[in-house]
Amino acid sequence: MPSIRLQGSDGEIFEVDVELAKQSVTIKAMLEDLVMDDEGDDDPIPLTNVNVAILKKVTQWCTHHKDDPPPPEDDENKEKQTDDITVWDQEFLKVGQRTLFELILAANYLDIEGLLNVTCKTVASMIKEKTEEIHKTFTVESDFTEEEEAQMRKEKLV
Amino acid sequence: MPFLGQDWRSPGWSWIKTEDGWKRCDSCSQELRSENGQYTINHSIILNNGEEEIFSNECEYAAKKRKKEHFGNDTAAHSFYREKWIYVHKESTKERHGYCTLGEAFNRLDFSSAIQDIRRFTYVVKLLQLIAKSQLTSLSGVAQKNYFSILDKIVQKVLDDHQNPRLIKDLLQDLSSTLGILVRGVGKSVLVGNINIWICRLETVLNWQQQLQNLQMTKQVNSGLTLSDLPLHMLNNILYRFSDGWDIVTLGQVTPTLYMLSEDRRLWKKLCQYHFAEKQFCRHLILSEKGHIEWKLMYFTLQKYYPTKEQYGDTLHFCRHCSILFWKDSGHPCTAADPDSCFTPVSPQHFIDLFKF
Repeated sequence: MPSIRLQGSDGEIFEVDVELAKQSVTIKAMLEDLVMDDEGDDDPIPLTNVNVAILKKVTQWCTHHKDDPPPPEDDENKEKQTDDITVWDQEFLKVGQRTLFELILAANYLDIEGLLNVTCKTVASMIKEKTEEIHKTFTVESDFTEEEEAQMRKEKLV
Repeated sequence: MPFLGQDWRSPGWSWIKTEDGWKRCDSCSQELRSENGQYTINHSIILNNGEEEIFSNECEYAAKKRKKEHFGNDTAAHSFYREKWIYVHKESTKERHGYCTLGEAFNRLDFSSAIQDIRRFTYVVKLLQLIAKSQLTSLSGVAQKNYFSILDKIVQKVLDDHQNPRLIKDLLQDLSSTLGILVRGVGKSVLVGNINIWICRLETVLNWQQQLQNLQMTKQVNSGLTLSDLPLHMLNNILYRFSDGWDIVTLGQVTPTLYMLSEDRRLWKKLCQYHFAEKQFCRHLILSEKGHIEWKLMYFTLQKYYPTKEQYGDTLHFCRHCSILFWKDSGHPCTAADPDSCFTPVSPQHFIDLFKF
């Protein structure tokens, strides 16, 4: 099976099967451009925004999902569904928060719709049904001043 | 066959005919285990304040061939081993294929493993909530123990992974107010079981509520990416996935950026359109001074008058042909020519209604 080489943000080279790589719309477009340019096939494709560790995780996901049917057109009903994640995906995404967010950014950069969907759903399901302490879950320093916070609490009584 | 059970409402022990005479199901399993290890046993362990009891009518034999050898093609064999489906009797006749009350369905459908699956968690919690509001008095003793043990597992899960605390707090609130009314107001004549057990349970529920109240979200020490590092359109992507307005408001309180995104009118418009119909908008239309529709205010107003849309990752299904309730991946022995056309998903309210005679 033909494979292509990808260069992560840390300079490391990572080889992956072409068909798998084409699940990423970004890579697919890059490949089409390369063919047209007819440059040396040995040059690895630079992916400046993704490091190799995350690339490996993404490849793992793509391998498992390579036979998935293409997702249906925007389904109004499905948009709000956050818990229809398959068991395999649930296990796959039991990673630290940092990895989860890096996966989201990678899926966004590489334009892999399925992975983006499932990671965002996971984050959404982590957030929902919580209370104000949510910022602790995500280590976000609250940027609001005390008066602003008090004002928001009052408004919440809407 | 003497009817021996933990309380008079339960189906009693299961018995198997062996060469040495009738043996109770759990002792039979001991013999089988020594013969060959060809099966697995899946007991539904019902905790009773620390004391473990294994109920024999919930043994599960994986070796189906062995079952056939013992019982032949007798369909009554289904009551001996645990499959995750239950026959629901529709008409009121004397003949029934087994014991089918709400409590028994509750026992047989294995909710304790369902709560570990994110697709089913909210569904099971909603079921428990509906039972808490109106059906507690219809549960048998075994079903009550099962109910509280599943609830215990749920509370422990929330205390561990800190997910869905608000949902469980609502459930416990409904439960504690119903229990309060039943124990103090109505009392012995309506509740099945000793009133002291119910008082203990009320105390346990209040205890759980206290634990959840004290639940301190430990601050995650995260040196890398955090939520606020995501680009705006990603944050928007996540916001648009919420189906509960309170989640949007809560997230909006975390940073000014999220606040700005959470105030977006289109977000609330989508939310209203998801839950409510046009007709309902018209009755409760709220306009700002400039004549724009105040979607956020409308959402919270409409929510008070109309039920919101419920959607679950995975639900129980009902086979109209066989009149059986089951989980999709466990299946059931369907006798229909075209199985898929007979299945309908069952909402939590529908589940409760199936057992009202």
